[in-house]
Parts: sequence; C-alpha cells; structure tokens
Amino acid sequence: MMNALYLGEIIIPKALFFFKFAAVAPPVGDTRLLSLFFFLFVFLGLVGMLQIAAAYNRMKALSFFTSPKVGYIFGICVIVGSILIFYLTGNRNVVSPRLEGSQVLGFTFLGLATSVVATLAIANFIKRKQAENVTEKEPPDGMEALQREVYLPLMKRLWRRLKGRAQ
Amino acid sequence: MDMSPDWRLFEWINGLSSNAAVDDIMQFIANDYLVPVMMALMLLGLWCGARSLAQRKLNQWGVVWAAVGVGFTNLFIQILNLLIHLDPWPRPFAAGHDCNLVFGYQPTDPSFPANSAAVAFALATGIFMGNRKAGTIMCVIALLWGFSRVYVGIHYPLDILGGAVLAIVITLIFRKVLLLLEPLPTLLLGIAKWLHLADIPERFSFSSINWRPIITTKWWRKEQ
Repeated sequence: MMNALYLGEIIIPKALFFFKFAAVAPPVGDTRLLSLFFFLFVFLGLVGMLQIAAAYNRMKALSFFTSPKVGYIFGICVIVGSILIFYLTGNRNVVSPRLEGSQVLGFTFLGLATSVVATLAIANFIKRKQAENVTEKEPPDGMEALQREVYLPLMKRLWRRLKGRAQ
Repeated sequence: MDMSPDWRLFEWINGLSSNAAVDDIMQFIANDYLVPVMMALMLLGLWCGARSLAQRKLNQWGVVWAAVGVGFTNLFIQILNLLIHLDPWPRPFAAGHDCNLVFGYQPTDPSFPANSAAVAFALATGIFMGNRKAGTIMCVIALLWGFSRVYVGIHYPLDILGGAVLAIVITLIFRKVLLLLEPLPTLLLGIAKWLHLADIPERFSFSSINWRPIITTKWWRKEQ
C-alpha cells in the first residue's frame, strides 16, 4: 500500500515532470557545449555499464569495488545520472544546436575509448596495493586475465615479454 | 486524399497523439541521441558481460558483426539519399497531409529510408547472430524507436520498414565482407586480445596473420 502510494504520488509525477521538462526546456548553448554534454552522457553511461559488467563477471581489473552489489548500484546510478545530466541541461529535440549522425558516432567511439582507459586507470589506482605484486606466472589469454589481476601488472608483464623478445 | 495503406497506418499511429504525458514520453524516445547511446551501452555490456568464455566470444562476434552492419548500412543509405535528393521523398509534415508534429524540429533529409531504424536494426541483427536474447531485446527497442518516430510525425511506417529491411539484409550479406578485409579485422581484434580487452579471435599471434594481398588469398575458396 505504502509502495503504491509512493509510486503514484512521488515517482510517477517526478518521471512525468522529467519527460515534460525534456520536451519543453529551452535550447542551451551552441554545438560545442552540446558536444561536451553528449560526450559526458556517453562517457558516464559507458563507465556505469562497465561497472555493471565487471560486477556481474567479477572482473578485478575493471571493478572499482570489491562487493558486486555496490558495483551494480553504482553502475545504475551513474547511467541514470548521465541521462538526467544530458536531458536536464537543455532541450535536445531542437534543430540548433544539434549533432549530425557522424558526430554522434564519433563521440560514441571517443567516449568508448576514454571510458575503458579511465575505468582501467581508476580501478588500478584503487587497487594499487595489488598492482605492486607482479608475479611471474603467465596470465590466461584475453579477458579471462581481467578476472584474476588488476591491469598494470598485466601490462608490466607484457612489456617485459616485449623487451625480452627485442633483446 | 491519399488512401494508401502506408498513409492510413501513419494516420492511425500519429492520430494516437493526444495525451500530453504520452506525447512527452514518445518525444523523449524518438530523440536522436537516447536509443543510439543505450544501444552502445548494451554492446559494451555484451562485450564484457558474459560469465562463460564461449558466450562472451559469441557476444563479441555479434558486436563485430553489428559494427560492420552499421557501417555498410550507413554507407548504402548515404548513397541512396544522394539519389533520392534528385526526387526527394518528403517527410509527412512536408507532404501537405494533416499531421500532428509533436517533435521539436522539422528534419530536412529524405524520409525514406529511415536512417534511425536502419542503424538500430543493423545493430540488433548483428547482435542477434551472436546472442538471441539480447538481439531480441534490441529488436524490440528498435521497433519502439521506429514506432515513436511515426507517432511524433517525422516518418511514415514504410520508411521504418524500408530502413529495417535494408539494415537486416545488408548486415546479413556484409558479415562475409570481414573475410575480404583480412588481415585487418584479425590484426585489430588480435591486438585487443593481446591487451586483454577481447577474447576473439580464437588463436592469435602476429606471425599467424596472413599478410598476403587480399587478391591472392582466394578467400572465396575458404568458403567452399
């Protein structure tokens, strides 16, 4: 009963207000500002999705948290937050400023590359104690290795192998 | 008065718009940015998020096929748009019909085929080949996006259908083009695997790459 009341009186009106706002808000800024907000939308959304995937797959090298539950909650919050930031900072259904299809694709790729690098770097920084222990044991191929170790030791080992080959 | 089935279906779907709250939600879904970004999130989630290695490999092939499908579908539509520009296919609001335009602006590019539907269905088809469940979910999202764009009055149903069919056919056909582009796909995926960011291709070493020119690799014989 309480949940139904909460849903009917708070959640649904707030959600409807969000859609109304997104539809009638005035356009803000120029294409450059829109590009920045779109990049943030993609970047934050992808970081959130990486956290959800890392929590589901128990990937040490990608996850910021040791508890998968926290990873799921953080990921969902970041994705929802990125949508809110993008749509509450101006009307996105206007002819100007507007991004062309090629720009959308370009910013999506840029967001993808930066989100992966940022996630690996942040996870590595958080788990830097583990990153100091570089073992000589060969890691498994591909993404399986991300479940066992943080990213920096993997790269250090790769670098050593390359140097060994060069000598 | 135009009585074609396409127009009648458009009139029915577009005529549903009368409730302000539903109009706002449809306008939000029909937006140029939301569905592409959500689909990008799903692709990344599929790339990393499968517990079994075999399923993750299938997902990753699905993402590669989806990317190839989107690339070639877009290329094809750009060429088609250049041809259609000679005899433009106007949007519903510009064709002189009575239409409820509940979208923020009036797009100026040709109505047929719907680029949005083509991109969404190309992604869904690619993913469907690797992961049936995720592919079906993406198909539903693509259908919803297409429906919302008819609802807000910027496409005819035939534009959506045309874009979808085109995307599905091109994605299915051009999946084989990956073989033509060898060794580039193997090299790129191999480097990603080497950096522990992918699980495909199956076996990879720089020395295993076939560096001979495409013409002499006789890729079509591999198919037989």
